[in-house]
Amino acid sequence: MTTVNSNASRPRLLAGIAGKHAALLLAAVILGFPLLWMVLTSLKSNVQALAVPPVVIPNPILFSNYPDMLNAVSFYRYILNTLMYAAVTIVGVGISSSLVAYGFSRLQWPGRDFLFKVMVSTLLIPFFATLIPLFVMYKKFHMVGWYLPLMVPTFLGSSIFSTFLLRQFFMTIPQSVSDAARMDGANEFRIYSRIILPMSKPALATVILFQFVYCWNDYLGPLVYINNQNWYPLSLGLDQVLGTYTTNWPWVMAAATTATVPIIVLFFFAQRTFISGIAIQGTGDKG
Amino acid sequence: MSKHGGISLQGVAKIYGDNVLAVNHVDLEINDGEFMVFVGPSGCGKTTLLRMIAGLEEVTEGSIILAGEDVTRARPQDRDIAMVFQNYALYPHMTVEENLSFGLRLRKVPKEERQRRVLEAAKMLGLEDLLGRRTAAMSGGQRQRVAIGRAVVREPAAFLMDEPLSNLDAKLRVSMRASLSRLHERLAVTTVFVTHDQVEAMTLGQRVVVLRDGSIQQVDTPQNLFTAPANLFVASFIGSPAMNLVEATIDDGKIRFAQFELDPPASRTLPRGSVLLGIRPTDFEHAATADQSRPRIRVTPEIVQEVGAESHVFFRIDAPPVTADAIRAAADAASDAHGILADADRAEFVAQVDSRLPVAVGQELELAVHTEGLHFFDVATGEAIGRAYGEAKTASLVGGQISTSAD
Repeated sequence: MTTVNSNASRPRLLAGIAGKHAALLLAAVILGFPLLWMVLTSLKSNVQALAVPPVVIPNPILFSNYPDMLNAVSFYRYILNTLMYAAVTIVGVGISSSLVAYGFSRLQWPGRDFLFKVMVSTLLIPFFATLIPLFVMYKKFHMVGWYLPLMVPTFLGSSIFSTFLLRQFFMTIPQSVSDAARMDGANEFRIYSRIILPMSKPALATVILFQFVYCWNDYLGPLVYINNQNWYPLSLGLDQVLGTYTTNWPWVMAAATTATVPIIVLFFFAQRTFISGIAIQGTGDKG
Repeated sequence: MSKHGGISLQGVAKIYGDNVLAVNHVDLEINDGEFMVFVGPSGCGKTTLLRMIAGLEEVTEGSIILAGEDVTRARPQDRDIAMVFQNYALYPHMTVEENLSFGLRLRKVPKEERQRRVLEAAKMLGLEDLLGRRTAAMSGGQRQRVAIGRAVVREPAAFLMDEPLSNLDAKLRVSMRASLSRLHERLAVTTVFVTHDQVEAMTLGQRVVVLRDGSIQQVDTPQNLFTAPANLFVASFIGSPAMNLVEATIDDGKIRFAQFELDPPASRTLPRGSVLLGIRPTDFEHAATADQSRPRIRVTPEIVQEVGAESHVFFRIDAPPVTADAIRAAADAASDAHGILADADRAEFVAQVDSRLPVAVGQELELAVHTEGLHFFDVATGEAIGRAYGEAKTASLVGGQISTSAD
């Protein structure tokens, strides 16, 4: 009986696996094709890029598009600006979000869970809905023109996502660890800084990673607040490649490839951290 | 190392939000250097009481006096107390040495003194070779020793231990019990140990506090809890297998229950009428080896469990099981709570007899009863009537207060 069953189920099992792989392959092709097209176009001449019917394989392969594009824009300056923007906001988010998350997870106070829900629900408010009021506010504070409107809020707990992620992680640390530290003579800040934060390295790594990717990709924020081209981050700086009347599409694609590659490389190296970050969001007690 | 670390609880109560009384006005004196165990089923308030002593839980009413000082409102770090937690609560990002010295560093103990204490504790607990290792990569037993070491290095006035052995496997638990006893003997520091395991309570405690629904049921030596339980709850909770209970009548100088009739022990004065009769499984003996003068009952074994030197013989009697709340509450935690195939008309009894003697399922067995060990409880209140043997001097409890009686 057992033999018959296993013989019958084996082809079914193989068919199931083949089906899954086929579906995943199709999804990978659909998602991967634009990336491949971007890279291929970055190696074509402008004529080939605009040819009808489209030319798939560049001939000749023009690697020179890359140095030409990099010479045409202040690429390294934009990179430095982006890294500076990311570094400062990572520090801001790391400090403020972890403190807020600590308050929402490790301390007991009236209305804690209600306020946490209120805070999380603000994630539903679209960025565009607050764009103009925020701009007006920062203008009144004389902060518009440089990165201040993008950096200062991160020190004030503006990253709800990071706060949520850290709070979920903090909830998984047994209360007895804090109690033990308390019995050892630690005050609340020491418990936060010497016990909970060092125990939360995986979650902090995820927060840093997500914040870096956010800054790297942030286009709208710098577009609205930064008015000096020298301070543009990469996302905005690469926009300079797009001409007003004519556009060199291979350069645009070379710029896009240059901006995308670091993130893809980062993802390969930090794949586990990204995935654990997603997993963390599903852990912890319900607020 | 011993400091004057007696703990006095005076009318200590804990009331949670919606008038939930977790600890009900507890009065208790824990002597300096004593090993006191809090035992009771889940939700009886034992951990809450311990956490109140630690300062981790606010005291709603009453006072806690530690080493002669009122610490009721003091912060945990300001009490000279160290605690060992059920899940060890170690700092996984620190090495064993850092775990042990963390509290000392916060208390600004000089470096040389710190190192001396850490090394001394590590030596005492066999952790010398592990000082440089992180605790995350250690076994349960090693982690538990680090947790105990962290408390030891503090040289506190009292140790509090919240079910510290419950995460260990059975074999390790037994050896850790012995280690804890030795450690207490050596340090002679007041220790309060919380457990739901009555065997742990009986083997470790110099005195044991039995708690139920936030109230103390009895404070006594382990032996007295077993031989002279103050009420039905303590009688049902302490002892494994649990005490056999049945409603009986005392009349014409006889104890009658189910189909049996026994002579009461000569030394006991018992009231006439209905009582709850308790017989410890150990107060039965195989008739083949028993003294001829002992009264006997004939039973038919349904199950025989051989447990090494003894056999547990399960049989039914022609009387309904006693279904008092106290018994149900005690059975929540009892490891030997039977009842999957409960019979509403016939109570199940268990006798503990020498396993070398022949006992067969379904074949009649004659058991002798040690009547001097019988327990009697008031049907209405569940309080013990008279006392069983070993009643000499015991601390009994009256209405939540401890008083010493010499009845």
